[in-house]
Amino acid sequence: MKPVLAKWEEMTGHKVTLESGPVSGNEMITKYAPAFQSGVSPVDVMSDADDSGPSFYRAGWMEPLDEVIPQETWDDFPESFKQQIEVWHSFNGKRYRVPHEFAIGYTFYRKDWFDERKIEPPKTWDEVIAIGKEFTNPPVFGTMEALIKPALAFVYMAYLTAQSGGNVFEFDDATAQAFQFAYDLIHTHKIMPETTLSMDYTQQNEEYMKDHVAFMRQWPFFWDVARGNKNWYQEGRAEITLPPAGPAGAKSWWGGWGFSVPKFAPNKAEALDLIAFITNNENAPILAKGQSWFVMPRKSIMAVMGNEGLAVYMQRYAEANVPSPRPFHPKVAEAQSVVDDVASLYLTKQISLAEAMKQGKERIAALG
Amino acid sequence: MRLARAVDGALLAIAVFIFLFIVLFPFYWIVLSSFTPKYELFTIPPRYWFSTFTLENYQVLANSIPLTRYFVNSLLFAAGSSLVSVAAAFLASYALARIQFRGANLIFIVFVMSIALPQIGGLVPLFELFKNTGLINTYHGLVILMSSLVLPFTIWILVPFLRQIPYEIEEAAIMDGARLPHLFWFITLPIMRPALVTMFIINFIIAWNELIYPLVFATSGSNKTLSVGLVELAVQPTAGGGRPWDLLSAMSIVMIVPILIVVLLFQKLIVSGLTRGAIK
Repeated sequence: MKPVLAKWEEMTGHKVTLESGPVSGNEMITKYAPAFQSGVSPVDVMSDADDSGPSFYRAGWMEPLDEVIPQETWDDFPESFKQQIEVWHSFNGKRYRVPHEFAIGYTFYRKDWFDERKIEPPKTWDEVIAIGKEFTNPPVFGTMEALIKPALAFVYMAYLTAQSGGNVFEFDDATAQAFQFAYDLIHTHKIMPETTLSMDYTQQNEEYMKDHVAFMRQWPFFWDVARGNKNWYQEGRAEITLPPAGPAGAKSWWGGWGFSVPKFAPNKAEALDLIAFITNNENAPILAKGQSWFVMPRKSIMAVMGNEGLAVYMQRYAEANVPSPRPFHPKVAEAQSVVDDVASLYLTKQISLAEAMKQGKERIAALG
Repeated sequence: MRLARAVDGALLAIAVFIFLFIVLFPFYWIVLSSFTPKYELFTIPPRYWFSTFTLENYQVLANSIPLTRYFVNSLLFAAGSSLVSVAAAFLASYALARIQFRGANLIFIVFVMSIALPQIGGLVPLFELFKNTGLINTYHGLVILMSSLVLPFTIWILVPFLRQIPYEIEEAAIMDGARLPHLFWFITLPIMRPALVTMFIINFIIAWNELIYPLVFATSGSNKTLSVGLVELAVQPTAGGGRPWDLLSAMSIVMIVPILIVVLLFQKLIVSGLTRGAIK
């Protein structure tokens, strides 16, 4: 961030100090809520997560940014982002957070294996099963997804539900379809090992890099993980393709962090000026160049970085309209736990699909 | 008879072994992980011994957060709050155990009950109070806060300890002309030394591992502690997973070793402090 901040400091004569903070939304809430509740803020501009941002502006602790962030900045985001911005970054028709991170589940695959067999990566759920079977020969499996609680079962169920066209928090028919598909991958077609139910992402990645997986959904960090593993990585071993299409198309939900300004920022006027400056179409690409955390499929960033590394796929996903909004619930952490619990029970054969949907609906309704 | 004794001995040995394994294995695993390259952390099957020894995790950790500053802050925070809490608890306990005044028992019960208050429930009013008194983001503010957290527990432990010391010892000193400060310094403190040291160590450990107060009340880097550093360790893109387990393991060792040293140094005093009350 430093080059952009230096420019702003030079322009305004103000000094910016960077302060590190918690890396999870729950800890962000623990850290900042007492201060905000007391009408003070330890920071002027903050970067906060999906798990914390909505709680902050729903509590009335953040400053609306509609009059500060120019329309050209919002127009710089791809069309597929609009819904996410309206749901996760806004409240009561006002925008409170400018996204600066784009975390989406990519489909990584062994291009070298697929090329060898002269086949294409799966484009539909049916192909996931057919191609998965072709590769499965334990310990090698067609696909793999870490599903351990907390949170990871939710991530995958929300991903599949986006592809089946539902909302995972509603436990609707499309959610049932997604649950059934995950169940079939593990138990019916056995192209995903049962051990994934107790795996975390580290273990999933390890399995992939031990040549045990043909294709899988994973967060962007795997791009660097794979390429950083010098002993294993070769070109073609961790390429990215579009996600397979379910009944509602090739979708993958995204989320991430964004910049916002607390209502009680000690230097609010300067903070509002700063947030407009660092997110504008001129500076967003400079931030992205400096740190991969700021790379997003904004037009201005893609114009500069669209041919580099992960940004190529980011753009491809955005153009193919893959990004789907992260499922929203006002009590998001609790709602995610419900999905986690119910999915885990179902995928471990402890309850039926009908019981899973019933329990899920009831528990979500109980959240109010 | 001899066979029965041998069986008892064997069963005891097995039970002790199982207990030690459960207690020590996680610690061993953290040590192992902290010296293992990140890409070898989660191999299947797991490796139970060093395959490749590396100090890289510690180097990366030192570059990720201001480790020395956080370490010094933790030390000041833990030592300061332990000292203040033990000193204040000693005085309060003496009053509750020795001075007959109306409401003494009630005050003691209130202290004990306050242990059950959920810490998170008091964050907002405490923040308000500390904001108004200018104590946010200061060392002394953090020390006062932490002392207030461990004080009731310390009093709860010290009062019964004091009550079992025969008052006649102090009476004899008073008869010899000792005044209260002399009484404290030359009579009560030496007798209570094992209990006070034990409570100092226990409070030190509690404060050393405390997260919520430093997270909320140390708002700038200059006052943050190691426990806050632990939650600020960002997911490194090359860490190999959703959590930087390599760095978390190294950080855990950095946090465990000082505690281990303190406990080993004061082991005898702690044991005598913990067992003193059991023997009349």
